[in-house]
Amino acid sequence: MPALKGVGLIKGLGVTLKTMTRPAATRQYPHVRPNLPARTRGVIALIEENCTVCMLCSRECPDWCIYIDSHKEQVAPKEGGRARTRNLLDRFAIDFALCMYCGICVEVCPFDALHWSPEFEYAEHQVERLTHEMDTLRKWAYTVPAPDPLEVGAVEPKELESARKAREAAAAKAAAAAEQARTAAAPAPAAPAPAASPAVGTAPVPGAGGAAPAPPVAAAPAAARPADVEVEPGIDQATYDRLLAAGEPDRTARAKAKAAYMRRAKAEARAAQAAGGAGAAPAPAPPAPGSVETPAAAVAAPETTPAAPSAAGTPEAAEAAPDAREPEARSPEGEPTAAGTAVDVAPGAAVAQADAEHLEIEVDQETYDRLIAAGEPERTARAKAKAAYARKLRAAQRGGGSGGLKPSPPEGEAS
Amino acid sequence: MIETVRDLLDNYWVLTPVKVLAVLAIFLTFPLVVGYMEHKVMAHMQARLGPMEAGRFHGVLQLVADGIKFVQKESIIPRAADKWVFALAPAVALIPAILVFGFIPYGPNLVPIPSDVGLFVTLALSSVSVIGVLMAAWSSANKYSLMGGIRAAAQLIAYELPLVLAAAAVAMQAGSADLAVIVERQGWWGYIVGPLVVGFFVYGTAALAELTRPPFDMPVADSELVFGHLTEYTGLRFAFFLLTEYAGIVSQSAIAATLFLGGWKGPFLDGPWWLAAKVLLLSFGVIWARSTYPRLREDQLQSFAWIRLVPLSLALLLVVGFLKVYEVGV
Repeated sequence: MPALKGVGLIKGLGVTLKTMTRPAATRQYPHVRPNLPARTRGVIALIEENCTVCMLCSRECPDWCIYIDSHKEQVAPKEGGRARTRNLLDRFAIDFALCMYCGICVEVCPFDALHWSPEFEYAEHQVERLTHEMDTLRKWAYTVPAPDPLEVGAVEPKELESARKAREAAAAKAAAAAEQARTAAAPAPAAPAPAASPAVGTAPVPGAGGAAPAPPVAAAPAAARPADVEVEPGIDQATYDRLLAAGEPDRTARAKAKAAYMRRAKAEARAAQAAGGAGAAPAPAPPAPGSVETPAAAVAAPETTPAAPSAAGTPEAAEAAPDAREPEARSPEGEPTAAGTAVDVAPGAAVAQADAEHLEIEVDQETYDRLIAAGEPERTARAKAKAAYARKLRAAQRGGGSGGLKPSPPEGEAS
Repeated sequence: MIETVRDLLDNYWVLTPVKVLAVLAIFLTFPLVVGYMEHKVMAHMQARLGPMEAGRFHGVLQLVADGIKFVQKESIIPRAADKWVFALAPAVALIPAILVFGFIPYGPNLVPIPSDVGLFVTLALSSVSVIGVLMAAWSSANKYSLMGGIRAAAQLIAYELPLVLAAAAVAMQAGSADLAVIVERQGWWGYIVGPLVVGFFVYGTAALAELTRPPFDMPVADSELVFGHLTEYTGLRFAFFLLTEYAGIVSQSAIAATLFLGGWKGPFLDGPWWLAAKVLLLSFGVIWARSTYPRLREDQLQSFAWIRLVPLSLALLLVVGFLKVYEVGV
């Protein structure tokens, strides 16, 4: 019992008066943006180039609110290989009227194609309009914050580790080559011969091979990288058949056959180089220029060209040049078809072509090259380059001019 | 020039419209100011912001927007309602509330309607409003309205007594029922310094109850009676009742300021601004009480009036009478 009756009444007045003098709890939302945590689970974003149409998200979704359409495409057969099929994503839509934001799809995605984006202002007046298609989902992906840095002492992620090792190997090789170039006599085109010593098996990935930093001695760029032979990937049919006959699974057999082919091809290339390297004939098994399998090779190539502008002398450059020119040469007629919906490419088209167009249209080449050179994995580089491209495109649209857009697809986009 | 204007104003037919316009202007501005203050003060006492959009700056035009909204609303009269009475009730409530403003002394020689019984006229007029409430309650043909109206009438009867007794104590102290004289007999500190502080408390409490303001708003208790006598009202008629309520707050604050706080007198420069400041201060008190206290129960309300306030005000009257007779502290 209070000491004096009615004290509570006075206290009550004190409480309201005190509350009045303190700042209100109200947030002026439309005028003042809410200060949300960086990883707010606002909406689900899609990085479509990571999607392999595995359908896991769609099947795990408790609401079944993810719609995926895809089609299969024949990949042009390798030399000696079989035609393969792969899935191309046609439609990826999430019905946010059904979605209950459980995030299971994000959890379950094995390829990091789905992410939580902090974007939250996508209310609509009609329920149907809450079904968001791939383009919107992709735009949201640009708002996804970058992953946190690893803790000190954490195990290095596999892809970063391999990239780093490749980079280090390339750097070491370049250093060694520079050393040789300095010691060797200037008029010696035969100088590259000793460079065959690096074991063939440890040859770096084709993508990382082009990533070697520019040699310190600018005088002899061609001689600086003798071991850096570029060979078109292919399959050694004999090995493949033999291994298959021996009962190896197809995948193993193919991999080993490929390795065998590469070993042989590189050895031949080096032999040709050592034999005088007149450069007229890129002797070692010149395959059809269109059958580039990995886009990495096609992208890495342009970087080598500026390093050796008078490249006709070296077989390496001669080999790289057609590849480098290839996508650009093809782009003019490739653009209009692929501009509107990149996925709706004629289904019969060769995958290589599709890849080239894909890169040409959607990826910011400078960024891509830079990132590859920095040792990023190919997939990361492509995603980031694509993001950079989209940023530039948006900036250009906002600025009203198409300045700063190198691969200039806005015309195609507009049509 | 000033002489000419003064001569002109001496003419009855010029002066009267000027007075009417002035009183109407006060009637139409101050209740809106108090209404806006109620929005904002109550919001901040509840850690909210209140209206922020209308009128750009902190929702200053919120009540104007509300008024426009009320004008647009359909005016519905229930089929079973007593139509004439139903339509007339808001006017019966509103007009006395306007008239009260005519008797308030706004400054030295600044009383729109000078009257030597001004105190009782204002108290009588402010009680007439409840007739409008009763009319609305009866004519609505709605049980909630009727219950609310009866509660309002019972509340008025219960609290009119302490209200009048407290006012009578002031009149006795001042020796006059003329509001202008009552102000003139006070110092700028008013009658609140002295035994009449009890009268101020009694008068304030009873006025809150007469206005059916929280915590004495049983007639419109929404959990029991929907909205009491206002249940069936819509549009402009509803707005008139609301305006009556806010005008009542202002007029009761003005009367209380006149009786107990020295009216237009102030420490530095006497004038209407002191009255305005005191009115706003008392209105703030009304809003403060509203956002602090929960609603009383109907029986608590009645017992509080009859058992506490009436004896208290009678005792006050006795004490003031003794002091007056023996000329102590006059």
